[in-house]
Amino acid sequence: MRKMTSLVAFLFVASVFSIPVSGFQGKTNADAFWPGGGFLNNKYSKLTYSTSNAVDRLGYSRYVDDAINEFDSISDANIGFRKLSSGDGEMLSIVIDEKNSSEYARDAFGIMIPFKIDPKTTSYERASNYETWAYAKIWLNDYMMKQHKFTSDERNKTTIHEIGHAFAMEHQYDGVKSVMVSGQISYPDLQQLDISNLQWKY
Amino acid sequence: MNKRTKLTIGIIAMAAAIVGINYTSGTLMAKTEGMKIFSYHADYKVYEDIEELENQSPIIVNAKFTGERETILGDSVTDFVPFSKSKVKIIKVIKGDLEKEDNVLVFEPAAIDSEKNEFVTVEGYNLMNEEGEYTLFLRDTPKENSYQIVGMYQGKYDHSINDNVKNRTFITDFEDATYDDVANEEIIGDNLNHFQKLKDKVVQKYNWE
Repeated sequence: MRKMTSLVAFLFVASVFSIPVSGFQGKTNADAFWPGGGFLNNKYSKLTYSTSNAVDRLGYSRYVDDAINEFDSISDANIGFRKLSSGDGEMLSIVIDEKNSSEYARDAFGIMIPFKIDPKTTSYERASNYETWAYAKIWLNDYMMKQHKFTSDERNKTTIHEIGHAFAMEHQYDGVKSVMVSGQISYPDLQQLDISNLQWKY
Repeated sequence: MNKRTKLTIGIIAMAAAIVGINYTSGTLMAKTEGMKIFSYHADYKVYEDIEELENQSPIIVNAKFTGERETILGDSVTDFVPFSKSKVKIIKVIKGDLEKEDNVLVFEPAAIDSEKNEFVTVEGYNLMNEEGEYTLFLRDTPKENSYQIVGMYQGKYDHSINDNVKNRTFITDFEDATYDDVANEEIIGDNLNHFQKLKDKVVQKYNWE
């Protein structure tokens, strides 16, 4: 009886530690990405991007350069970038949110929105996160980051987070060690979970 | 008024009702039939509890939406992220430097793009409506008489909706949904459970008067 009790207790403890608990282990592989979303996979080997003048003026160039380098440096992933001037047919634009008071409308530090081509007009139209994109734009909200007294590491994290969305990465659960968790978090680099997921997809 | 005139007026009135009246500003509600939903994700502060939300909110009020709303859209869809400026009437001041009966503008992180028949929102935030009885957590913006909702969906709670979101089935895949499917919801998308956790505390602490 005593042996049986010990066995049951052992099996219980073993099962608790082996069952993935959402919010603790994080989303991996396909679960970490928006299904059907993103640019065509082969586009990420040379993702063209631009930054607005305000990115440089407000001191965000170093965060963008650091973030790009984070993704570019991932081993065993076909990821690369090419910087273009704004309006030169880039696939990804990174700008500062400061137009028409838009920066005051959202208590958020950054946002990425994807677009596709309207076949009738050939201009951009909104795309969902779950479609193939032709273009994506990241707005970094310097006003809100100042309101929340962001550190450099937190600015780094938001920039990497938004570029992560451009790679069709979904949000991770709170408490998971990942740049894809929402919030004011000091992750200056991609975390191991993020790197593994990007290696899986690309 | 003869029969023919009455009939003509009746037909015109029916036609107007069927077609719908489409405004991007002013007091009238935009036509939303068949309206596609775009809900985008942001990097934002997630409030774990009501105390954190209160600390970050210089202003907490009970308010009603007056029906007056201006939709702010760019020249193109890539210009900037659309939003709305909505006029609310303050019913009760819980915290901060506003007065009862004040009319203020609240910036809402969502907008109806009537021309494209699209509803654009961030983190599932849904626009206020005139039936709602809201507790709002706000902070100043640099714009006169204009306020931001703290935490987006985390800063707006409708006391007139008593259903617990956990007891309901919600649309989280918007590919086939239209705005009419979700127009009466406080929040749409992935953040339902977190929203309800905060709402339970808000309605417990702040009565609607």
